[in-house]
Amino acid sequence: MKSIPNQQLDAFVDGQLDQNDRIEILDAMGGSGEIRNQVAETRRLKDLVRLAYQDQRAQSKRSSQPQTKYTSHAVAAVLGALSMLFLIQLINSPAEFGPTLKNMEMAGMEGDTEFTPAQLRMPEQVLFHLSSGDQQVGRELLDQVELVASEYEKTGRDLRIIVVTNNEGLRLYQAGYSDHADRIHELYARYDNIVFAACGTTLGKRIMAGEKVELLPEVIVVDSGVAEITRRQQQGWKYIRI
Amino acid sequence: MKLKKYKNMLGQLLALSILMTGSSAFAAEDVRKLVIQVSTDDVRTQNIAMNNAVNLQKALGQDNIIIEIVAYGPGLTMMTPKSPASKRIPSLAMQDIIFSACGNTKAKMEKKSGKKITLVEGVQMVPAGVLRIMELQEQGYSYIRP
Repeated sequence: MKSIPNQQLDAFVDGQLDQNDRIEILDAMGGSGEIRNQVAETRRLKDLVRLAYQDQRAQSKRSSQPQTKYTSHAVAAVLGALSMLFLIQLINSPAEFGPTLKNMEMAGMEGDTEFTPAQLRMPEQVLFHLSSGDQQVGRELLDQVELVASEYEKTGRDLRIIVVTNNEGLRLYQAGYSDHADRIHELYARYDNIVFAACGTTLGKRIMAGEKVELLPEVIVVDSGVAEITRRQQQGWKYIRI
Repeated sequence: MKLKKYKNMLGQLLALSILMTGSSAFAAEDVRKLVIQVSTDDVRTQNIAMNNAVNLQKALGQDNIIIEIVAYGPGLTMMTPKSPASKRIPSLAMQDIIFSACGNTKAKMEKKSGKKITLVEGVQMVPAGVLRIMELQEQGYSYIRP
């Protein structure tokens, strides 16, 4: 049994290996618990690093938040007090409120824009999941993916899509089985925010069963489809099962 | 004298605003939200989707959960009069279950068949079913696909 160099493992976990190398590792993973552990450890380290960065970002966000909150409360309080005074004035001298009203409205609008969290917004993230081998269902999946991608492009909003297939759904990504290889290639070439991901567990099972699996070149492999789905949902991704 | 009146008014307004923010925060915490996806023309699954909704309403109380059933793709048949599942929709809609039909699917089906598709009473149209589901998840809805 040969061991796998760390560089290879890193590339495998990042989904950067070409197909043959990937399958070789999956093949090796299928046959060796030691290599599976190696891969799991590498992935765990990468997750830790990623989470640490996320934590930092969240903390810097949090630490800056109270201040804005405070100012926005102050602004609201001042606006509130002003509007009270304004109301009082209104009752006393209805004729004079024209220009004041205009200013108040503008001040209110400025106050609003100050605490709109638009800058803090993450890009929209959605995960599509297919577990059916029915190529008609596969076509529906790709239709929906394209619809969402084009809709977001039209409105200029940021979007990330990952399309995860497992079990029989893997057939959509398999050369020789998929009716939609060209379509996947087109989508991949047309949009740079779509990732096609195959379940490594399913792939491993097929290889173990002696099947010669050939994945489409646009497809990356994740450790496990279900793990990927739960991870992403925890990170706030929307989930749609086709 | 006049000043005292204003002070009174101010106090009342403040009390009112505190009351309003307080109660809305309470409501947001208490009410659960659920979106159910129907994307298959299998009548059994379509019925299960509605059963899930009814049972949840019963279990949690009608005022404690907001449920929206979104149909798209082959699932849209559920909301057309032809489907046996559609008969339950008008009465369920009266019970505060929201039914949303994918406008994109409807347009596609109409183009394909050349005939106008009518939806049963109690169904609202949304531009695209999948986008609606994403939007609702963004608003904190849980997601179920029976």
